[in-house]
Amino acid sequence: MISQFFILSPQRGDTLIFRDYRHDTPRDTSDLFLDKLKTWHKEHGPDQDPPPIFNVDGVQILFTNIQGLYFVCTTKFNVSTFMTFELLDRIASLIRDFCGILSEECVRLNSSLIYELLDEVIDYGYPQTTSTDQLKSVIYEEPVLAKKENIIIDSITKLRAHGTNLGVSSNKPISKPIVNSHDEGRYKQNEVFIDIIERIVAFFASDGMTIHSEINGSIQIKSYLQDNSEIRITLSSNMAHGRDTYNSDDRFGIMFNDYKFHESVDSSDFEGHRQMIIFPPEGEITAMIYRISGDNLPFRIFPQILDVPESPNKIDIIIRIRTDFPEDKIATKCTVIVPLPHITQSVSNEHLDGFADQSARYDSRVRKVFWTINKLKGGTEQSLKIKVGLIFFWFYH
Amino acid sequence: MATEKVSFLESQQSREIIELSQLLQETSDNVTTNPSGLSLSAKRPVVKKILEAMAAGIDVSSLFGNVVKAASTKDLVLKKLAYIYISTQAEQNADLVILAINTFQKDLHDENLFVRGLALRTLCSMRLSEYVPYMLESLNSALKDSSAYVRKTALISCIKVFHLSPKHVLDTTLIDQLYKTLGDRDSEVVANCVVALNEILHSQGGMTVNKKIAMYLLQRIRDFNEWHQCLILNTLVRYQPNEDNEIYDIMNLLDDRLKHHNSGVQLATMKLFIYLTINIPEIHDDLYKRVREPLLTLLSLGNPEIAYSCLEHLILLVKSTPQLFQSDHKQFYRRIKEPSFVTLKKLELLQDVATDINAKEIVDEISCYITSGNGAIANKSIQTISNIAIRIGSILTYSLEIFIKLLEIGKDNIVSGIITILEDLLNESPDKFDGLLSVLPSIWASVDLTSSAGPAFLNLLMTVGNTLPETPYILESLIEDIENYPDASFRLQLLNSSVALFLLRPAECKDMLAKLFKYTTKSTEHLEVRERSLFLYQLLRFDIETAKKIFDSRHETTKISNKNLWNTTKDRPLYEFNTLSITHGKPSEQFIIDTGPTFYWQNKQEIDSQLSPTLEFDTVMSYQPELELFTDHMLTNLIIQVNEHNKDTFTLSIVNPIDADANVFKSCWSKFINSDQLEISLPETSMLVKSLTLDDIEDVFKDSNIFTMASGNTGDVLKFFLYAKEENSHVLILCELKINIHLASANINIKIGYLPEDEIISDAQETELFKHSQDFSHYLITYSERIYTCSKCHTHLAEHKELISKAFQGRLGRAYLFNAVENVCLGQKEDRTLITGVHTVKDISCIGCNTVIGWKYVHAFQEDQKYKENKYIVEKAMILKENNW
Repeated sequence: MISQFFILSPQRGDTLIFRDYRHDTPRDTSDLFLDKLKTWHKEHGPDQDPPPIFNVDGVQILFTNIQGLYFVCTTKFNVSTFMTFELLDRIASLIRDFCGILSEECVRLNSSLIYELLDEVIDYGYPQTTSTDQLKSVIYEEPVLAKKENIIIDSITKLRAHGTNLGVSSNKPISKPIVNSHDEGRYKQNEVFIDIIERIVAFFASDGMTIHSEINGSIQIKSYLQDNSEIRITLSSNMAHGRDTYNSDDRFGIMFNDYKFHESVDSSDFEGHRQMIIFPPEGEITAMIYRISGDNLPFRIFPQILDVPESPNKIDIIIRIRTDFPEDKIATKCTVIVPLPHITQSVSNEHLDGFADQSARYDSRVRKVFWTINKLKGGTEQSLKIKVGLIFFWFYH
Repeated sequence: MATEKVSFLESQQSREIIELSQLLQETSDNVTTNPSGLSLSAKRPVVKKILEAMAAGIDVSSLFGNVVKAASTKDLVLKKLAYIYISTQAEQNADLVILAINTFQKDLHDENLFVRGLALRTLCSMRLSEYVPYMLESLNSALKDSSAYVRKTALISCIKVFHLSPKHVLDTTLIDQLYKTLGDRDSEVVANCVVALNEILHSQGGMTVNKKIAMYLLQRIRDFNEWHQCLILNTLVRYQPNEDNEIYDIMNLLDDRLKHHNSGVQLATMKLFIYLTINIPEIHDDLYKRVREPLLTLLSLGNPEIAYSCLEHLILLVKSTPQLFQSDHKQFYRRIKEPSFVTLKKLELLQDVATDINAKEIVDEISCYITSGNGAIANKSIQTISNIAIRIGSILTYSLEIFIKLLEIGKDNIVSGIITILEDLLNESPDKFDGLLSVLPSIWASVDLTSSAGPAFLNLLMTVGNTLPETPYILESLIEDIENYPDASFRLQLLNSSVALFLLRPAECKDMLAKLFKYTTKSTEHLEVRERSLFLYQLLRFDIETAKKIFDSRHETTKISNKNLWNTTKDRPLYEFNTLSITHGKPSEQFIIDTGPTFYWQNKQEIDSQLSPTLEFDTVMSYQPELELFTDHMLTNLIIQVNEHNKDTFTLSIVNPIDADANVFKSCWSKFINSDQLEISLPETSMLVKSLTLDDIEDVFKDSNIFTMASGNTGDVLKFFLYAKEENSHVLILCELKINIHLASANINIKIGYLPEDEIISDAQETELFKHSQDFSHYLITYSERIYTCSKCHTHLAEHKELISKAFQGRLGRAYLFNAVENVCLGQKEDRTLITGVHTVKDISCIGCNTVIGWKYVHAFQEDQKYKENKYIVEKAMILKENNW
């Protein structure tokens, strides 16, 4: 039961798309929203992110920032926040499906298509359908392809936000609109792209011990298949589902803490044979997401701080990183960030072994050392020594 | 300059509009067909431009006629664009809409089902009540359309028409037809039908959900798409099965919905489960365990907004079942590159998740955030550790150690933050602060003493540092430097701390204290500081023993109370699970202002009716009296409990203008004793409260000899500073009144005292003061005990508090509307035509003298007059105020 939906460009504060469904909130909510953001930053500082829900005079404003655009909706009802945020997210991926990419230019070029979409997706504030298949038959406008300049195409909406910078991997189905129903000739090839994206979250104590680690994974499917083909995906059989992770036993191999499937996935045989049967609808879906907690980390990091005996205002920091995965695998673009104390005056560093394909640089603004290793082989160890000079404080009483 | 700019902009905009309109007229209607067989009109880009201008907020209503013409085209995209324009601009061009009706009629019978749906949707989106008959006619045929797409559009359109003209929808057989449509074979039609019934029958609590309907919807739940599942599950919470078996059946049926890929469906299912089991507490634990993993997955894998909402719900669950996430605390640690609003919520959650077992780990983890460089997170982390330490005693010493270590690092903002909370922590453990002693002297250079940390630091110095050799020197240098600390609260604390130290170590502190007194008693000093300074000076001068006693007793601990917004209705939050209430942390009434969905629309109609010549008598007259009533109500509500006191001595006199000086008021306000503070909710005077102006309210107070010092308007809140003087005792009563218009509540803060010229408060006078405060209260109470009597025989007829409005017209002139009257006989029932239409009424007569004094409304035929039913009209001429109050 949303009242209005709009897309804003934060840079200039332009309203790119504005759709009023119920006319029960003021017309100038988009300005109101921008004002609210501005005052929020004024009060809390620029490094604070405003919460995604505002209440302005009884008008509830919910928004999300997707690829530099604000997707905002307003309502006067006590709605479900989850449903609303999912809806905003889904509208964004619909635009991506229909227009190829999501960017300010693309939204400007395809405004009439987006209005067409919005008209079908939501009626009088009630979500109707967001299925690309279904919408294809009622959308008549054709997409205008936008240039893709400096846009990181991450089809992984679910992982996007926590800052995982995935870059563009070689096999990514980029900037091609899913839907080209009225233009049969050009995209006839049957293609499907499947990505498995895993994010490992690990917490270490200051002595290098693992406090907690888990894998958040998702299987993404972007389908250009023309007919209703069926896809079968079978995971290796040593995976099991166990809700209680504290009894995890090696005999069962990897234990899922939790997983869930997209609606188009027939998972009835998953418990038995780890098999999923997917009838991918056109467009991008997240077929499965899962969470595994465990101790098997691909990397170990051991920091060490040494006092330099001859000069009291210097310390040495040694970072060792060990890779615990098979030797035939290579990790690319690894970055280790080392924050330094605020009394840091000077920094220099030396690699203890191996200079190949790596660099370390100190950013004095944020007081952090960024150590980047382009290729890191399995079963090896790399280390970095950072020499830090400190400013001394003298207190007088 | 500014106006020139604006007009330039406007002229530029209007030129653009003219260009667009020319373009639209000139462009041919020719429709070309592209290779794939789709129609393409040349007008398409022009209309697109118009829509862009509309989105940018430019007034494009003058193009209406041209766009309507463009709408009758074979180019479907152009048609859609034109329809979007028509539906948004229809109101400004009500007289031109008739042009569009023709196009609508044609499209409603188009062979393309999407065109039929589109036309219907647009037609009903126009908020023009004169076209309701057209809409109803097309709705009726559309509901029987062969296409599911048209049917589902028709259902949503029913809601639109309903808000336009409730009567038309409720009076027809539409509702029955909707209930029949529930059996439609298309799931989207069924879902929209549920939605439509819910909204149309909102005032009756939504659609009827009996066993048959509930079971039917549950069986088909998998047919619905994800959004419709959310809406239907939300409707099903109204169904309460009779048997436990049925509950378990439903839960088994919906179990896999907890793993749905849309978090909206997951949460809706959880909410339904919570509702179903609300009376079966023994399975709550199982239920919570069942929802635990899905919520944790949402937290790790959802986007930040979902994670944020998820944390809100976790916080709620932890509050009711603290041990539920006891072993999951590591899931709530801050992640890399996480937006700060998520981290802040996580800290809030960790605070509640902490138990004896995991508290140390949690405190360790959070303490790392303090030095992370993000100010808000650092402050919240400090606060969180402090709250955990206060709640879990075993971690207290450890937390103090961490704080002391951080103090030694000496980063400015962190030190200030820690100093501020240390006071609370030390109150909890007065004997565990030895470690602080050594760091205190070294950190004072890095504390930002001009912030709130300043007074806290001084207080610490007094409680902890009184044995340190450095303390007097720190204080001395601060006193030397006092010019740089203009803040009153800092100076007050400086006075306190210096005196406290003086009492312990007089020799070292004598000189600097003298200096401090000298400075703070200057006439330019802040009044509060000056008063405190004088008081302390006198105290030390005359009774040093008492002073010692006072300062010794300051160490008594004050417990921190945990405020819970929900505490009045304990299980209430669970009922509002999966809504915005959880985010705002309060029941929906407190932030949803008007649940009537067409608020702006209704408002507009009301204004229209006020402007029209058929002005209703009631509406005009009610304005002023309603206002009076509103303030009456506020006054009568002021005091809740008052003992029996001597009533007759309390009268409010006119304050002479000399007393009414803003400066005097200001000083009195800070000096006077707090006597009462309360919050009341105001009567539902509906729209009228919203239209009150400051002057109106001030006038009413003035009639009761209560005067306004200052008033202002900050958004929804009207704020007043009021004052009144009691005639006999010269007690001055000050009152701060805040009226929140939207929440219809008032916040009142009363202070009492004497004017500065007759001050010096003795004990006797103080008790006197309190007595006066109560008298004032009582004065307000007696206000409420006012009774109306029969003008002939003085029989008691009605209480003042039952009065609803003074704005009615009786046979003998003005009449009052009462909620209840006493001591009357009811006459025969009869239909009577009154100013506001036909009503069934019964005359009422006084039982003492049998005089007819008014009538009772038994039935009102018009919807908008229904509020009068069972209320009483009493002629003003027939009643008196007892004892002439």
